[in-house]
Amino acid sequence: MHRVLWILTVLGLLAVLVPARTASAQGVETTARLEAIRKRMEAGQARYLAGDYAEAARLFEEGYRAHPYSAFLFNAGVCRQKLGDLEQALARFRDYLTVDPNAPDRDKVLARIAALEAELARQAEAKSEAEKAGAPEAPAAVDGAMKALVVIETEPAGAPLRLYARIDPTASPFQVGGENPGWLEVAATTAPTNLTLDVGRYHVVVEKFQDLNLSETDIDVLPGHVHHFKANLSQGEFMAFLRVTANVPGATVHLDDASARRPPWGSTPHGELVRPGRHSVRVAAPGFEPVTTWVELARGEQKLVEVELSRVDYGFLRLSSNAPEFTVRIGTDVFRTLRSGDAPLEVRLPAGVHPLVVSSEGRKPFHGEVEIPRGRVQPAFVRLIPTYPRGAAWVQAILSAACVGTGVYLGVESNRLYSELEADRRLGVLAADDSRVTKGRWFSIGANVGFGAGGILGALATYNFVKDPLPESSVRLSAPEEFPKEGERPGAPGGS
Amino acid sequence: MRLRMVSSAVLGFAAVACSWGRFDDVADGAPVVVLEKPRDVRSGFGSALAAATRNGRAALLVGGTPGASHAALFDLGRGELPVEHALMDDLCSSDRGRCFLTDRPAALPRVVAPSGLELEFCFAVGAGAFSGQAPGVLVECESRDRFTIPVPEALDAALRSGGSQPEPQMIALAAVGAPEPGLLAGSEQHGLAWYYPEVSAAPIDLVPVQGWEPGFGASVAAAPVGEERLLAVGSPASGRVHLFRTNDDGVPRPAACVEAGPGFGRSLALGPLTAGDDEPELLVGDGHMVTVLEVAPLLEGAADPCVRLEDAAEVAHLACRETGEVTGCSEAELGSTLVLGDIDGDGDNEVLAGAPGLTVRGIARAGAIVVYDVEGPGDAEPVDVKFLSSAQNGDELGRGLAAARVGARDIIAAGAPGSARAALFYCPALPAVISGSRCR
Repeated sequence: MHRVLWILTVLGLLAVLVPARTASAQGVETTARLEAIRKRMEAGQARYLAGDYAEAARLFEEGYRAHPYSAFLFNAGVCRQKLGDLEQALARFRDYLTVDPNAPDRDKVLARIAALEAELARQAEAKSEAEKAGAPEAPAAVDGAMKALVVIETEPAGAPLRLYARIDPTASPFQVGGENPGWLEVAATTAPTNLTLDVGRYHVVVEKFQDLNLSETDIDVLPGHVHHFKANLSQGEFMAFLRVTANVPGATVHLDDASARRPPWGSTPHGELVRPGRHSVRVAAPGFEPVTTWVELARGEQKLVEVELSRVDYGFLRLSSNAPEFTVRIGTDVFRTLRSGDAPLEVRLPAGVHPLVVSSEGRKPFHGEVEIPRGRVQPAFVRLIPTYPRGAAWVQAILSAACVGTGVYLGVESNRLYSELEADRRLGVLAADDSRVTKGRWFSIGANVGFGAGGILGALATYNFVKDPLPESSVRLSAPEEFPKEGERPGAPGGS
Repeated sequence: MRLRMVSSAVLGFAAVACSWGRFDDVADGAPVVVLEKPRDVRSGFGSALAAATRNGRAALLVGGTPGASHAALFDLGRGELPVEHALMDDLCSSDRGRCFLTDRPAALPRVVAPSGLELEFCFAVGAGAFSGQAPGVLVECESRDRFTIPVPEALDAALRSGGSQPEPQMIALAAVGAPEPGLLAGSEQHGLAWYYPEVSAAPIDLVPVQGWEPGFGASVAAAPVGEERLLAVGSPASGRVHLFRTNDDGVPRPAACVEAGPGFGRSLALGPLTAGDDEPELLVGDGHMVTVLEVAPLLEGAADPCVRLEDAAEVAHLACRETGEVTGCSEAELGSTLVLGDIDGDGDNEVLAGAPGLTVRGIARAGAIVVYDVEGPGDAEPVDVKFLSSAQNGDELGRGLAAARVGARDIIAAGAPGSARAALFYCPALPAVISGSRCR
């Protein structure tokens, strides 16, 4: 199985290195692939450092299945060993040597395998004794150093190279052709190559190749990392490796293109071999203020630029409603009346809380606030509830008013008639058969009825005006969305 | 604060406006009582009125259309609670013979019938003949007794002729004196006036010194002057009023004559305006105004020739005055009926003048009773105008008029034939000496 994976890996690498392909295309493809490998490697390393060895082992093993580099197997073995699963650890280390029989640390790994085998044997024996004695099994000490994947390329390919490891931290810098005490040759191969290395300082020497001069550089290998080196033999120097990360995944990175006129160099996180020297790095993402920074790279240097993007101080409100037609007022600005079929209203607003009123004919208006997030789109759906029909209340109110009005009229007339009758009585001309007596009496009764009916109807009307079994209009805010990518940005705010 | 005041005002208004009981209160014991028209009095109810009082109890005769309808008798009682429906409604009924109801009936509180029977609350209601009796002046009493008084030959003949459709014979009547009242009668149609010293006596013809005059007897009035009786007979066609005075033998003789323009004498009233005055005043209506004459100076002169009105002494004129309530004096027919009555109970008589053509509160010809308190010589202004608060167009209140003695004062009884009503006015506008419970 491992052999098959190895073959597939080799075939994959060969495919990457097919000469018919253009150098540029190959470079882009290699960079993308290495970036994918790097992500998996760093994810496993992060879990390992967090003490989550099981997850780290799973990520490394998954990484190996996707990208069959032996470093994944070694690291998975270390995690298994940390977990105390010595058999699995032993299997990973064996696989490691199977995949990479010429590994620079072959001897060390063999020694580790032997130690594990011994430990397993000891544990088996101890287990039987412990079962007899009932004592718990003591865990074995583990060398927990992760390995890194180092990819070395040359331009043109096929150049012979040698790799030296600094075994003495106090050793002098490596001198080509010198004695170089404290340095140990760990690999001699041809580029391109990938190596699984222990943490430490190495020196790479690319021999003279064809009519090109020798190139060399120091490299520092970090645990659980993927290092990518490339020597441009025509220029006699190793290229630097620049990696740009940001707090916003997918942010576009422009290298030496501050005005972002050219296609982006990549999107975060992105790493690539670049010429040594001073470079401008512009990182931008929709909804974030673009950041431009400068980086100085030495040959063969691997540098990570971490950019912190901050969101812009405005956002967009994307508003839709169930009402076929509605008007939006945000603060003192009335925007527009949308009709059914129109695209949702998208308004650019300063970040923060804004008063929002959405109204529609025949529906209860929504009064509330909406918070516009910085550099994001806040989708909002306003559910406008139809107003509760007040027809009955109006009819009752009108009837009530009519009744009260009639009552007032009849009351006034009744009073007038009474005053006339009183005056006539004082004059001594009030006749007992005066029809105004009966008329006034009926007017008074009518006023009573009018006031009574008006009161009852008024109370009913008030109740029916107040009564509202329907809920209030409401807004449903969805999770804020990121700005659309370049070219898909929401339109400018409309309204009046 | 303002809201509280408005609320209080609204609630107060609602409370007052909603109280219908106050209309019962205001109408309870109304100062004007309207008498119910009897069903049998088919038309003109209220055209003729006469009131009789005896022993503190009053009765009122209310007639319908003169010469064509019946009369009814109402009990006004002794106080302010009259019986509003008629005691009798078949006076001067043709069911029991032929009767031409007069527009000027005479009340006879007590009378001794020709049969010798003493009767109370009798009324001379007109000319005619009861079944099986000779024609004459018809007298009917509350007791349903009735009798006929003979009339002069000319009228007697007219009453006997005509078959089944005789010409109506209209007479004017006035009673005078007590306890045995005399009766004065006149017939404008025949130019006659005659007098009965007692109702059981034979008629004595009254003849003007100047001789027969057309229209003589159109109006009559009488008043006692000591033991004597003063009789006034109007002759409006000639514009004259003739005064006759009885002497010791009880036979009236011409005593004076007053002459004015045509119409003068259309209506007459005779009586003292002031309590204790032995000499009565003569009130003469001409259809537009009322003239008040001192009788004594007239009697000092001769009966012939007639004294011109402008030469008569102590003359007062009572004219119509328009107010906010009444208008249309030119059409008022002021004085078409004239009555003297003490309506404020002060002992002095007030002049009650019917003005059936007055417009009341914009209601044309609603009619009214204009009250004058004539204290002395000179023109007098109305002190009160009585009308119906329920006036209707064409009522013609005042076409019939009487003063009914109730207690120590008179109440005004007036007919409104236009709406077939008769009303009793209990409360004068004058500061009343005697005031009843209806006057508040």
